[in-house]
Amino acid sequence: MGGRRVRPPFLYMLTSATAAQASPSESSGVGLSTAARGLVLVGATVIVVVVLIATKGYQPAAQATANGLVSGTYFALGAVGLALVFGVLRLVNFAHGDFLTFGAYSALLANAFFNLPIIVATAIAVAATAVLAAVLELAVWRPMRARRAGGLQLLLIAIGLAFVIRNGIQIAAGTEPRTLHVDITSAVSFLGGIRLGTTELAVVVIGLVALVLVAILLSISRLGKEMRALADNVSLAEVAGIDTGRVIIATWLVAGALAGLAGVLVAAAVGVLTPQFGFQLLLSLFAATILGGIGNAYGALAGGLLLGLAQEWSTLFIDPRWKLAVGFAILILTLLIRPNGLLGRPALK
Amino acid sequence: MLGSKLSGFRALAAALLPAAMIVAACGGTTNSSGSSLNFTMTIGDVEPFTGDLGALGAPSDKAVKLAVDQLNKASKDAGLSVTFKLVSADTQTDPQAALSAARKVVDEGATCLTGPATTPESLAILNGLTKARKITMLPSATSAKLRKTDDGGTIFRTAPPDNLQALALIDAVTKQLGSASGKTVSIGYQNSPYGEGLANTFKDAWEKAGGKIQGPVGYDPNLSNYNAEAGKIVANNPDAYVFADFPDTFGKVAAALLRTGKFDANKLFVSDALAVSPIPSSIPAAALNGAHATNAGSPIGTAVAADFDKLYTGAPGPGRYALDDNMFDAGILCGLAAIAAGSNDPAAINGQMRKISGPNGKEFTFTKLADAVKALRAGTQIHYMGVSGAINFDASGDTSTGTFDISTWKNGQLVLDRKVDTKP
Amino acid sequence: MIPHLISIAPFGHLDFWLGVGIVAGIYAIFTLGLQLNVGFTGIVNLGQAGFMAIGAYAMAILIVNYGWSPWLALPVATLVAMLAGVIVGMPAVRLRGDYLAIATIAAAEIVQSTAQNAINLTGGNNGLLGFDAAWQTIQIWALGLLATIGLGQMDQIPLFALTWITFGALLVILFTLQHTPWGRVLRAIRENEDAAEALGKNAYAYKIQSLALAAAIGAIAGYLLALNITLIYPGTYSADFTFIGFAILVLGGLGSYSGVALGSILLWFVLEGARFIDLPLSADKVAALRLLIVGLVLIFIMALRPQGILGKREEMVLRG
Repeated sequence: MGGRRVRPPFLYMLTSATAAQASPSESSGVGLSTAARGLVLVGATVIVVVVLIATKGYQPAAQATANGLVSGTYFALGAVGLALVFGVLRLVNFAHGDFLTFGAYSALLANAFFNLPIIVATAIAVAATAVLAAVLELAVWRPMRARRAGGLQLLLIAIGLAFVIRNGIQIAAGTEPRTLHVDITSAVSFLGGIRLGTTELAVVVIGLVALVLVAILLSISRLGKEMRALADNVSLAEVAGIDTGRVIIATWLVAGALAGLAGVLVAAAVGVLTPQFGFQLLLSLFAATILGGIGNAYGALAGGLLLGLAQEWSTLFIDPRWKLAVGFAILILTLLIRPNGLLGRPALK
Repeated sequence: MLGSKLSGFRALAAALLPAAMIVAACGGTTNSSGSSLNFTMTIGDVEPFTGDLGALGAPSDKAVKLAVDQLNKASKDAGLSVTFKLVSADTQTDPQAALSAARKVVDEGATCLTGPATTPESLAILNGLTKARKITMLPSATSAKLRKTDDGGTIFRTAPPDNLQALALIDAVTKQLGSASGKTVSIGYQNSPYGEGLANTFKDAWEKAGGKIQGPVGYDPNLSNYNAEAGKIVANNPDAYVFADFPDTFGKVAAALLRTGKFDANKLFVSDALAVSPIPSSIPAAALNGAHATNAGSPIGTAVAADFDKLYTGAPGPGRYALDDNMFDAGILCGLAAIAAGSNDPAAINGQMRKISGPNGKEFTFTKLADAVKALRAGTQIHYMGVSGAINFDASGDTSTGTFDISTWKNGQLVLDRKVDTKP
Repeated sequence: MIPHLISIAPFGHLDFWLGVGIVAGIYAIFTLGLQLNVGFTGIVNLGQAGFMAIGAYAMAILIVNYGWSPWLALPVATLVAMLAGVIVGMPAVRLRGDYLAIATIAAAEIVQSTAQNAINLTGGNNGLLGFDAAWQTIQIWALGLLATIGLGQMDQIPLFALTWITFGALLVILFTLQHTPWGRVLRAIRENEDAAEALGKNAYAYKIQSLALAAAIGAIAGYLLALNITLIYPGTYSADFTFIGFAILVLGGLGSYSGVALGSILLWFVLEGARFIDLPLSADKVAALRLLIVGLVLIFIMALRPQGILGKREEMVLRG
């Protein structure tokens, strides 16, 4: 993992810096703060939208943007969880997509089987997935770290967990297509011809609210600061007195909760559930995380939204069959041109 | 009468003598010279229980299991000691796994295969196993490609091939629009062998008839957002939409179609994989009520369809899904062919397939299966009338009724409008 | 026909297990490439199925669409796969471990997506047929030979033999390469890339070579798979194929080429043998159970015995 410069061990530095702010030794010249880069991204997005409207017409471009926001919302929710886990644990969680599936099916169980209202079912799903993540941390990841397991070991364990969760859900729930008790057909028109489903709008609102809450949590809460401290330098964080075990569990709980929520939102927006959908999403989540800057939760948030937008914008130009390939192409381009993503730090080798 | 019965048996015995020797060597016994047959026949069901078409496996398997139950009941009622067994295996919607699944069931004694669900899987099994061993395979795959494949006469299909179904769809659409020329049809399809095959077959045929095509728009079954695809399908207000898809994916696309606000279900035409009645809970009813479906033969609204529906929904397991009626018929055909052959020998069973499926012979539906069995033992030629249609295998092993039902969903139920005869 | 049927029956499940043996051989060849990359170079190649697809499609397209002879198409297609390895490798091997893995899997997904959607080139969802005429001729000749010793009905033996002979040949080649200076540099790179660079070795170039060679090996696995199912189908070359390869890799043991054979045979014995499990579960659940087993293998091996069966504990030291 390359050498890391040791930063002055003062806790106050942690309370003021955002995760992506370059340390004194790195901020030579190039490097805007995260906030500044975020603004640039927003600006660039607006410009792109304007260009698209000019070239493709208002309704198609605006509709594609709206569609992109819908999928971008749950991409972002999933990607933030991935990024948090990677940032704190340096673990690429290949099972994350199946956390989303788990969340969706938990909601299904509560909502369609026990007939609980969808809000309650969502809360149950969020809690259940958070618990799943924490249980796996205690049962699998913590013991493996104690044994000094290497990166490849952890990677393959994650892949194995993905298989287990996905097929476990299939054993429990079968392959029959299922739906939540939500209205997936009503839609509203707004802003001159954009149409979105009422549930889709709810998904966007709920998702964005959750994302904002998580962003706030990360930046001002003590837990958030501790997570970022751990992401920076584990031994240093321990020296500063942070209970790494507790923070790691908290990270998994948050990541699991976000994944559970994302899963329910996908199920609600799309309408029909089958056990495979999580893995398909996983690669898009990777693309989002890397686009934004792996290990950087704010980056993942931006990356998710951007990826959703990019995929939907691409349908204005090419056959929608290629939508997924566009996501992978973006992932590869990011790795080629700017491996640390749009909001990440400059590359550290 | 006795004389003709004996000469019939003599011919049968002469044809089957080699087979009888083999079956004897294999450990099964045949007794083709009396009124009581005694052997066990194993039907192998190879279905996608996992993978892209994973939603299809369990309902199809249930249908074949019901067929096996009916065969056992009929055998007992007719006084035979023929036992039917079912062994199933997962093809994972993948040709390699399908081949392995087929080997598994054949090694467990299967002498007639029902399934698989896609053409690539069927080809893998055919070329790797069943062609050489003369084992009959009844896939629910519908590509016209299978017609031209050299299968040694081992493939029979109860689901109509795409080229015929496309003609039926054209007929249905043309009837509604008045003519094909100058009219635009927007095609949507599931990005899989079935969807792509039928969509392109329809596209070629419609353009040949002078019409215009918007799309075709293909979509993956596991996408997380179908809005863009739905938008492209309903754009420019086409004269009609044609969809080649399965219920689980279509549920997601249908919701997106309805949300565009531009979708008119009355202009929608779907193929047999979506012709499910009542509308499943995974598809918003508003997308299908008023829409039309093509389906082979004469299943809708007939007594036998209602009887099958009662049988299926009354049994434990998943609900009605795509092509379950076709798979039920496949199972029954395997069993009847074995009884007609008087043995469990694959080649003999294969030889009987055309003789029990029409167009000649006394007609029997599954409700009168015991009578059909008795008729077979009496040497009468029978014509099994399936729940999915009148069967009538042609020279390529496809159903050649050419007769399709055009139906419309009204209040969640498919109601028969009319029948159409297609000529390829 | 009659003798054909008489001899099959007493062999029972042998036919099934021969089929499993062919699949195990194909996966073993596939995983040799993974072993070269992961066990001997230290790069996590999660895109091996994509290289397999490129080789197989190139072979079929050249034969079917352009009428080439298979004896020309096979080597050219292998070169195409190697070229793909170079193209993917050039940007990818610069990246750190996890990023490299993700880059390779993204490349493989693009390959699979192209295979599925570029209908005019690749046949789309229905794939390509008809490239195996030469093999069919060879097979008939081989079965004729076998008939002289009474085994003419075991129609899988020719492909079984071809697969495992190919595996053996590749095994010998890889063993030999391991003991060449080239092979030693690879191991040095795996164990300590900085040290290797300090000694003047261009780690970047070696890693790309390793990836290209693995791509060629993957392509060969692809040809054999295509011969087994007689068609090229996009859904075959999925990420799951690579994941199963990794399960085999760790089961056999990192750093052991012969372990690959053991791992493949064991895993496929368990996976396919599980088809015969008679549980009071419906068929779709039993099917999911088989795949769940793959996941459990990965987890338990990595957790409890990371060196696998034939690997050495020291080999588990991996960068990043």
